[in-house]
Amino acid sequence: MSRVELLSPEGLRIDGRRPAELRKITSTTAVLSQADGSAYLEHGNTKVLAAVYGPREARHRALVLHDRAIINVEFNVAPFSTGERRRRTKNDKRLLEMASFVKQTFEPVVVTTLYARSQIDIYLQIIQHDGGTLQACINAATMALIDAGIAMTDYVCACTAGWVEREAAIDLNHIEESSDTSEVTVAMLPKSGKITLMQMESRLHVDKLEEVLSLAGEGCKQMHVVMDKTIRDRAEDLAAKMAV
Amino acid sequence: MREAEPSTNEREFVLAALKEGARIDGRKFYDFRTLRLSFGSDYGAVEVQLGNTRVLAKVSCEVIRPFPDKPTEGFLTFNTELSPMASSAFEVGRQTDEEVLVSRLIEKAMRRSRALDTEGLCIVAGEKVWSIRVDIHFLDHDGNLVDAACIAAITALLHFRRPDVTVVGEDVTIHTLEQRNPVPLSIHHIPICISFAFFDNGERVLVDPTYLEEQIKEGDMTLTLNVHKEVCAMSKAGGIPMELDQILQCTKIAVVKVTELTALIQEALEADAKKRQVSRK
Amino acid sequence: MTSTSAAPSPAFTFSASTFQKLHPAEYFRKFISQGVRPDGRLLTGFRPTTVHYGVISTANGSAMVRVGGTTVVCGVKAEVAEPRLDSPDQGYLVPNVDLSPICSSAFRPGPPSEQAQVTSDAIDRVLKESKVLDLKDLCIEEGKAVWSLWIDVVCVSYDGNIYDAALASVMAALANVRIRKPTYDEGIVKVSGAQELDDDNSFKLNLNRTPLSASFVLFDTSLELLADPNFAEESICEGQISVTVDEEGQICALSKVGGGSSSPSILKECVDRAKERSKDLRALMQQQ
Repeated sequence: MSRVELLSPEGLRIDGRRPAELRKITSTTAVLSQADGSAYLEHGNTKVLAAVYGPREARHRALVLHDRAIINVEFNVAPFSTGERRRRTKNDKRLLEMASFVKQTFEPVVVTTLYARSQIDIYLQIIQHDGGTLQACINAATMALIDAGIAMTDYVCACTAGWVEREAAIDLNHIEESSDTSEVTVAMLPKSGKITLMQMESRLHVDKLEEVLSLAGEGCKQMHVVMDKTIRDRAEDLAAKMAV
Repeated sequence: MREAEPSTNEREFVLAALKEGARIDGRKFYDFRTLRLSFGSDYGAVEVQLGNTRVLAKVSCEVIRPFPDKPTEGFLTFNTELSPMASSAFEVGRQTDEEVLVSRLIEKAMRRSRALDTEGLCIVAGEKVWSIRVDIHFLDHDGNLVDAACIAAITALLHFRRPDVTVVGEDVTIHTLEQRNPVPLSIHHIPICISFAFFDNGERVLVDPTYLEEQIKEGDMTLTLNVHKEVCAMSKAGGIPMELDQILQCTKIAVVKVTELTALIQEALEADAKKRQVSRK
Repeated sequence: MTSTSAAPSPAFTFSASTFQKLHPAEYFRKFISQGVRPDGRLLTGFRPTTVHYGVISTANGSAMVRVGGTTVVCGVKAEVAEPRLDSPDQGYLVPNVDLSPICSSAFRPGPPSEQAQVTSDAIDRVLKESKVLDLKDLCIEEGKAVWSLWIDVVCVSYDGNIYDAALASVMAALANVRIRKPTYDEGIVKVSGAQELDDDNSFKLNLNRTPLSASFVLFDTSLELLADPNFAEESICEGQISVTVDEEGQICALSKVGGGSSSPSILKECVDRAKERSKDLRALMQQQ
């Protein structure tokens, strides 16, 4: 791969954005007719669909908890979603790990004690992959859970951040991700500002860590504003229709 | 099989002790358990004992064809299997959530951070490269499997010697151990994982939790750093949400711990090297 | 609001939705006898259909088709592969339909269900037997390299009649495919990377035919024919008839599964309606 200049001398990134700028985000809820709650989220070219079924009867009696609901997350990556067609098997460790992360992120946030002995299923379908899949999945899952009317203590907003050449930047796309830049995915609860998920896989010096993490926090707050607007618009829409 | 949860009495006791600043085994909050490294007679076999947690790592190598689109890169694979020997919660064949997370963390810490120079494993570009395989066996689970496994893996890689190779034009000779002294692998840096457990709404932070502390914890985080103060991997999934300052505080603690542990590992390797030299004479 | 007891003793009354759960067939019959279906359609009506092209930019061609509540996304990716030994100058098509738990609570995670496999197989047969594409067009270098087209249909929301929606999406996606022109040089196929796709550096597929289908179910021992069943109708009906027709009104595939025996007049009615439907659907796809 030829050396691509990720940050131009004027400080613009490879797709023309400034370092602290998010990609164009489109989101809609209630897109699926069969699921209890659903959301479709686009982060630039990364397209993710989330469907929530539940609370419903648990599939395996042995796993049922007497005082809480269990959350089950499944990932499905469409074969045409990445640059080269790759058939990811269901047991691929990477997918299992991401599913486990999403599950652990929502377990403390969803008020599971309200739905004892039941199961909440979150299905995530990745339709197109252009960097930042985990963050898009968490955001889509949050909106789908709200759309399904499942009680949560707060939104969960996620954003990626990294160190691109000379500066910290947020919302990295696929080219920036694959070219050896350090990338961290952070999920935050906006009301308290606390971090609930943090994943990093590449090398980053400790001194730069603070800047990158606080920039990610800013990105999460921006995400929260976008997601909140979508949810409120839809709620107003529904209220207007019901008032008739 | 589901593991037995600690009784309410145990839980209360541990939490009350933590409130007073004491841990059950008498350690301070930021102390690691005693780390003992023992090397096997072969190069690349290491057993790590972290308190009661025991992990065995074994490195082996073989020559294979590289991928066509990466002709000068060797292979580094990690194989972790949590056997029922370590804990009754693990089952043969079925991958539990914990197993996936442990093996992914080790891969991220070692492979993604380029601890081992894979380009240095090339013998003949496009035809022959070394494939290094690290098998990690968990013998006894008393908490903090990730840290122990990581130390075992990196120490084994540092300890391992591969057979020497001479390439003359098209001719490749792999020398046996009698003919030529085996060669160490080129390791760029030493990543060490430090795991934290959070209690009491995030107020108490413990390093190197035991099994009991792991079952009671409210949240956890694993940081992987090296001596050069570079963070190689970070993983905090769910559990209690933490403030940014608390996380940065943990990184500072981790930096100190990593220096200590790296020094311990270097000491052990040197002691073993001396022993081998003496026995060879 | 319906009483089921004819006796003078207190009659049971309950709401329509409860009645639907207790006696689904009876509930249906009440509508059918008036010539409509619970969702308001006539017996022969098809649900509103929309087609969108080019929804996936990472795929060579893609389309999203919505038929009522059933939504499918189809992506086509072209890969260079070695040709099969018995046809060294032909490429090949590999269709696959994916029905995952996300689209409906009726599906469980795990290996592809019988329904998904049957649908994939049906689409594969239509593509092969109707010679939708001249496979020789996909040849790069005879005996060495050909294009293999991987056609993946992902169902996003399932409300009955997956076959029609999947086939329409496959046809739409194939019409949308653009493949970069490759150069063959001593055993290596090179495809230029970066520039924008236009008619010089890429080619579109030349489709000989565009077969489109219409599915029907038989209700009440083959007496009533319902077009384009939704999920509720599929569950209570026996027997399904699918007719696949191309532009010239020629039948490409016909299948009748289950239900009792039907008279030839029912089959003829299906074929006629299928011809009308495929005309309407083709006009809709042309518009986009």
